[in-house]
Amino acid sequence: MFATRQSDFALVAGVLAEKSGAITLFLEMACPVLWSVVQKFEPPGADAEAAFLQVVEALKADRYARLRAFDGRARLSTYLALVARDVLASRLANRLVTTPQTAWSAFEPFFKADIRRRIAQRFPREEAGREDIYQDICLKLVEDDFRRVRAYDGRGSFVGYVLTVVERLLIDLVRRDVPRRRLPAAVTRLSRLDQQIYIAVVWDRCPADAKRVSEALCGRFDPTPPLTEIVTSLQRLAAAIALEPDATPEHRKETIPLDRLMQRDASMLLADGAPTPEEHLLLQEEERSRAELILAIRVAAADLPVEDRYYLQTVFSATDPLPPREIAGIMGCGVEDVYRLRQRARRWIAQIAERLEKTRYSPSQQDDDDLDQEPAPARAI
Amino acid sequence: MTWIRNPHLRAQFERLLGAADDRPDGGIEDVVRARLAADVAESLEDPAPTVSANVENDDEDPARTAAYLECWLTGSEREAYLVSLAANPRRSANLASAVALLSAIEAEPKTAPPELLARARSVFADPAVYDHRPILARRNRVIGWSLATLMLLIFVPGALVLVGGRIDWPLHSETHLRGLDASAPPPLAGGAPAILGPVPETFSLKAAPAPQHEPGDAARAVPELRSCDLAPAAGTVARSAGRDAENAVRSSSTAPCPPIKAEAEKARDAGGINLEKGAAAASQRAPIITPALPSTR
Repeated sequence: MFATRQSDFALVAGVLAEKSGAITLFLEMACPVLWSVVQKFEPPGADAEAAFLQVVEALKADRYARLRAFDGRARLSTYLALVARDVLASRLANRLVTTPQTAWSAFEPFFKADIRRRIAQRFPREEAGREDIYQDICLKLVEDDFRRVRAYDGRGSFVGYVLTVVERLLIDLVRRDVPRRRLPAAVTRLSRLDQQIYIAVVWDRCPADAKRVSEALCGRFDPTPPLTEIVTSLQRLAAAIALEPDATPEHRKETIPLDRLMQRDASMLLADGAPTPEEHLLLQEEERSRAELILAIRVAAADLPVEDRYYLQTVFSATDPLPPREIAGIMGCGVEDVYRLRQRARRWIAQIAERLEKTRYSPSQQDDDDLDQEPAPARAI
Repeated sequence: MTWIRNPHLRAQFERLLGAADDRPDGGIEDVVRARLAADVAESLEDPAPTVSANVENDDEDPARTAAYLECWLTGSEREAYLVSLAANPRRSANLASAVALLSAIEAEPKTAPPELLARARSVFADPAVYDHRPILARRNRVIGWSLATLMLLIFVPGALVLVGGRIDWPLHSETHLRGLDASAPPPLAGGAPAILGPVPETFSLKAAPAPQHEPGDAARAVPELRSCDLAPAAGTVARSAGRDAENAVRSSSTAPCPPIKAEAEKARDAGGINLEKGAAAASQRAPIITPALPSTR
């Protein structure tokens, strides 16, 4: 590794001195890296070639200013990949300013992989719904003539800015949509096939027809279950729970005035999407508990060493635990360090739990009226 | 009711720190965990005032990012970088994206088409690609030289009249120039090759000059100085002489940072400056423009 970096450094020195041999070697080494990066961000064709040449020009511009900044600590290939990405991002940002009408065709391929990666991390279970979420995010980015994207102030990385916007949108989606999308207890006790059919019919509004459901399940099962099994499952579900499309506000197509409803048919029954009183209490309790926990974490995190803090941020950037190797890549450390950090984080979490337990009432001291009161602020950790 | 009585909440919170293969089956726990992760991530994002004070500006430095990703940042430099990551969601999002990109291109390397390689060669061979703002640069150059000449014409005679009260033009000028000849290092234009080390025309990696120290160690040894930082300092001097002079100063400190820093530090510690090596030499040469201005006794 050291030898590689030494020779990389010497190679760049040769390019800066404009030695033809060094330039030839440099281009032979750099072009595959730059082309690989361009291929990740640009659709193949003339655009990709133009982007590639722009990156090459950028490396030479201002008397090799970008190459001069190479300090020989990392491999040249890593450095070049990062520089190429920055150049392409700046190119895209300029394009958004100059020709916003056509910029989407460049914007979407540039961020597609990153947005999909973030969606998969935030919604690991919703494989079938990820495409919808992706479309949702894209719509929000395009909204009002790229209002969110154009709010970029030019400071820092454009990629980082856009991905932060995407992250905020995803968190909003988690908060807004996920609580409504809880499988009823009766369904959670059923098989996975039953649950997926319930999701297809109730959440995704697929008609409760075996053939249509089979199409909707395509990709969720390998192989796709036979029609007879789907028919049986539909019957089982219908017996267990009302199998009607979701009646959440965004899915309601029509508002019916109450007086008209009463005049029309007094015996007509409407499905009530609101939680039952028991569910309401449980939700309230959970919200309160969550608020306490978040406050406790916020207070305790202020005293954390920065490495531990960043480890926690990395871990909580995904719903499912990330592989240690991936965390190590983001943390710029070895995998063994990640295990060490995880142990420390677990101890930290356990300490927060214990302190919360001690600082709050014991269950016997509470009466049921507490459920209707505001949560007490968490004490200093 | 405390959250401790909410066993599923606590369990899911603890599971967020679980191993990668410790994935539950789904259902309501997923929902709880997804929201918890989002909430906790946001609550951890708020930087404490002490943290934000340490954060550097928003400009990304690919060299430092690359060094961080390859685990070559250690000690205070790594900590400073982590502080900036923890306090700046944009930077951490950018980093995560960079990690994903590097993994992707490593897993799926591409070969550049030969015609593109040829075009890249022609771009590097084309002198017009040096500067993206040739017109602006030319204009600045002209303005800079004009201003510098004007200043010389006004201030040199003025200072002589004010301080000396005696005008002995030829004698003073010659003395001054002789003094400069004796003490000044070689011209800036000649500096770059010396800094970079001799690079043979037929370049080969084996024959190429290599940093004498581990580059990372060298950088760590002198964290507060960077050869790239010499440009602004020298630029202050050169600004009055126009963009050409500034570019010349920059070109004299061309070599990448760490090894040169180490050389500079070594030379400085040894009590002298090795003019053959390092940006330190360039930085010592840069101020030669200043003595020309007072030109008084």
